[in-house]
Formats: sequence, structure tokens, C-alpha cells
Amino acid sequence: MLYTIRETLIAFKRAPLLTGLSAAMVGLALFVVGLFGLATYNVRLYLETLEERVAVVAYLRDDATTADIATMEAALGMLPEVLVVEFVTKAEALEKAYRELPEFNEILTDLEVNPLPASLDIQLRPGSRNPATAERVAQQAALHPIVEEVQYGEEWVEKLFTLRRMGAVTTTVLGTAFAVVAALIIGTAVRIAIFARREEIKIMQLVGAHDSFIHRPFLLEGGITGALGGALAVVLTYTTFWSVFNYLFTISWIPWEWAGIGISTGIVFGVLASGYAVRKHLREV
Amino acid sequence: MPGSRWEILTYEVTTPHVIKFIHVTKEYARPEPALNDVSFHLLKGQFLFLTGHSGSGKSTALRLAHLVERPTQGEVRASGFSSLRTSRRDVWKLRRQVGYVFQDFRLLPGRTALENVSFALEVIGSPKKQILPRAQRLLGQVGLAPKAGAVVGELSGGEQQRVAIARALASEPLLLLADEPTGNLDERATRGIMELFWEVNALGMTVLMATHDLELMRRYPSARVLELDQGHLVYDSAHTGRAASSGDGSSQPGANARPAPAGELEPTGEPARAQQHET
Repeated sequence: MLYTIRETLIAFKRAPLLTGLSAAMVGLALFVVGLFGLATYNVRLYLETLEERVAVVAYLRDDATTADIATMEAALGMLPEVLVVEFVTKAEALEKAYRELPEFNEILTDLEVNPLPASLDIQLRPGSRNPATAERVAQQAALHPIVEEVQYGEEWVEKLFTLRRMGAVTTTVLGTAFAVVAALIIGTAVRIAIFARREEIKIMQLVGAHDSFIHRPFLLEGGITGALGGALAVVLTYTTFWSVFNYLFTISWIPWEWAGIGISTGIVFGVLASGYAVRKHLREV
Repeated sequence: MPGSRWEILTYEVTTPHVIKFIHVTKEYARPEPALNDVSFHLLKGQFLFLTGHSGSGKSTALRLAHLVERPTQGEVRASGFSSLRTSRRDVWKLRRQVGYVFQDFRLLPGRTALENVSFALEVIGSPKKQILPRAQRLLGQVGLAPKAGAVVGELSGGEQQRVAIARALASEPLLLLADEPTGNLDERATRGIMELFWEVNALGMTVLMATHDLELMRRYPSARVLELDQGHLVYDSAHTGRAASSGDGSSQPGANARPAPAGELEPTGEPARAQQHET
């Protein structure tokens, strides 16, 4: 182990520019991944606030009795996807309309009879706020004879989830692409380091070094390069977050676990890329 | 040789054949094979000169014996390892039993003689506490103790080759392969290096040395000689009775490993094979 650490440090000392440039390139590649992470995280937070508004509203017939309403409320409340069922009376609906639609206040005031129906507002549990569940709950609600109509904003719920899926796919594809770029950079850097030490490797093989003994310094070198690159990516991503937050608009910083995962990914990719490069070299000589 | 400067080297050879080439052919991307159906064996303790012109297949034979390459046909057995059964992953086991000395030394530049030998000991997993004293003893054995701290680039060719031999001996190999080890050395350095090879051979280590230096071979008439010509084995002194060895190529370790006194050298300068063919 001492040999591995010593040889790795010697390699860094011998070619600091190579190590620095490799770490910087890995850092930039992972920075792109970090930016996508930051964007995805904030989009996700925004979508979650929108998702909270995904609710099913069952408008009731005017002749619905209190007992019928209570029965329906209890039945819907027992559905596993349902968080809470709230009864909104005709008067409350009117009051809400006044509050949310001030431009129609005059018309509403002129009305002699309250035209708005009473309703049961059904809030879904987090994780169930998706189009399929909302539709299923809406169908359940529609089965009750006291229900006039059920709405759950089919169109915008669909669009919301399409947007979310697109975001996730884009992040996964581009994130993976740039992570592969980072791995290729580390692999190339290690190949250069191997080339610089090819005579040494040859001598090691000739005197009977086990392959793992030859591998270890390069694996450590790749791991450290990956870690440095990962750390640089976190610093750059945080700087971007800080700049946007202070000068453009309010956004949230990604959970620190994500940053930890980013650095760990750098290390893992560094070790894997180095391992592949050394193994390939040893097979060739 | 207890009490001598070679005390560190102790050998236990269990197989009589340290090297065995069985109908070995090695082909590269050229019309003629580098080695063509070559068969011979080398018994423990023998000193063998492998000779021939440039391109005759000497270096190829050594690389095959070290499993740097594999035969296209046939089988090479070295120190108990077969080219047919030893996987690439296990070649390191062979390498620890077969030392290799090159014409161009192949030392780590920028490192001292001591660091070069220590490196080999470290590579083969010697206990950390033993590395430095062992490296110092090995350098002492090749007569380089006073220059252990010198960077190899500052050493003469002969001294660098001594470092290379010390490194090759680090794993206490059963067999020492040497590819033109005196090719880059002057006369005096050559004598010193050859003396070292004879000394380790006298301890029981088998030595296979590729050389095209006929003068050198004449100086050691007791050694066995194999000659390659365009990949064919054309001469084996063990089968002609010229060398002091039995018909199957065996010879007593150390017993044959003495250089001829200067007065015994053939004055004609003719190679051993030519002399043999004339008789």
C-alpha cells in the first residue's frame, strides 16, 4: 500500500500539469452534469408545488342530502390514494369565486341565486398525484348518484407529467453522456501516464510483478483525478447557483448528498477508466 | 557456498529440465519463421551459449523462454511452466524464477543502483525490512557496493550491467536468461560480467546466454553451445562430444563453468562450430 501511495505521489509530482489538466477536464465534464442536476432539482421543486394542486373536484347535485354527502365523503376518504376530502358548500364556493375571480365580482353580486354547486374537493397523497390516479379517483367519485360532474384538470395534469418526464430523460441522457466524457478523459490521462511509465511497467513485468501490483498506483491516480474533478465540479456548480441566486432569481441548492454522489461518481469513473486503461496496456505488451 | 559473498543465493531445483523446447516454431508477419521446429533442453546447472547471426532467432528463443511471447507451434517449458498451460495472469510466477538480463540494461533512469535493485525486491513482495539490506548485499555480490548510491546514468556500461544482474538475481531465480549482455561493453567490462555469470552458474544456477561473440564463447570452452541459423537449430555441442557434457546435454553445475586459461584459447580465432565440423 505504501508503494502504491508513494508511486502515485511520484506520478503526480512528475507530471503535475497532466494531472491538473485531467482533473480540470473531468471537473468541467462533471460540472455540466452538475448544472443539469441543479436545473432538474429546481424544476422538480417547482413541479412539486404544481402537483400539490392536482386535485379531483366532484360537483354535487343541489338535491344532495347531508347524509348522502357524508356517506360519499367517508367512502372517498377510505381510498388509499386520497389524502383528504373537503366538503365545500355552495356559499363557500361563491366566497371562493369572489376571492379568486375578482373581475367577475360585479356579475356575481348581481345574481339573485347562487349558481355555484357544492363540491367535494379530493386531495391526493404525494406520489399519487399523477394523471392515472387522478382519473381513477375521479371515476370512483362519479359513481355516486349525487355527483353532477367530476373535474381533475386532465389536460394540464397530463402536460405537467410530460414535462417532468422530459426533464428526467434529458438529465439522464445528457448526464450519462457527460459522465462518459469524464471517464474517457480520465482514461486518456491514465493512458498518457502509462505511456510515460511504460519502461517501468515493462521492468516490473520482467522481474515478476503481479498485475494487481502494477494496477494499484494507476487506480489510485485515476481515483484521485476523479475526486479532484468531482470536487471542482461541485465548486463550479455552487458558484453558478450562488451567482444565479444573487443576481438573477431565487433557486434552491441541490441536496449536499447529490454533491457527495457527484464526487463519488468521479472517483468510481476514475478508478474504472484507469483500470480499463492499465488492463488494456498490459494485454498489449 | 556458505560463508561466501554468494551466501544469499540458495537454489532448490526439482525438475531436471530447466528449459525444454519441443518442436517450437514461431512465426511473425514475414515469410520465414523466426524459429522453425526447434527442439532442445537445458538441464539444471548448465551454462549454455545460444549463438547465431543477427536475425537467427536467438532473442526470439529467449523471449519464448520468458513467456514474453508464445510459440506458434510446439511447446516451451521453462522452470516448470509450460507455454501451453500457463495463463497470462500466471506468467509473473515464471518471471520470479527466471531472471532476465538485457544488452541495454533496462534500468530505471534517474534512480540509484540501490533503488533499482530495491525496486525489483519491492515488486516481488519482499518484506519491507529486508529490502534495503538485501539490495545492498546483492550489489555487494556484483561488486558494486561502493556505488550503490550512484544514479545509474552516472555508471559505466559494465557497472550498469552489474546492477541489472543484481536486479535479475533479486528473486533468486533458478534460471538466468541473458540477451547479448556484453554486447555494449568493452573488453574489460565483458570479462568482469562474464566472471559474474560463471560465479552464479557455479552456485547451480542455469544460465542461457544469447551472444554472437565467438571470441567470448571460445574463452569458455566447457560451456554448451547451440547455434541457430535462420530459425533452425543447426548445431548443439552436447550432441557432438566437443563440450565437456554428456550426450543428453547434461553437465555438472559449476564443474564446467570455468573459463579456459588464456593459454588454452584457440589461437586460430575460428568458431567452435567450424572446429567441430572439421574433426
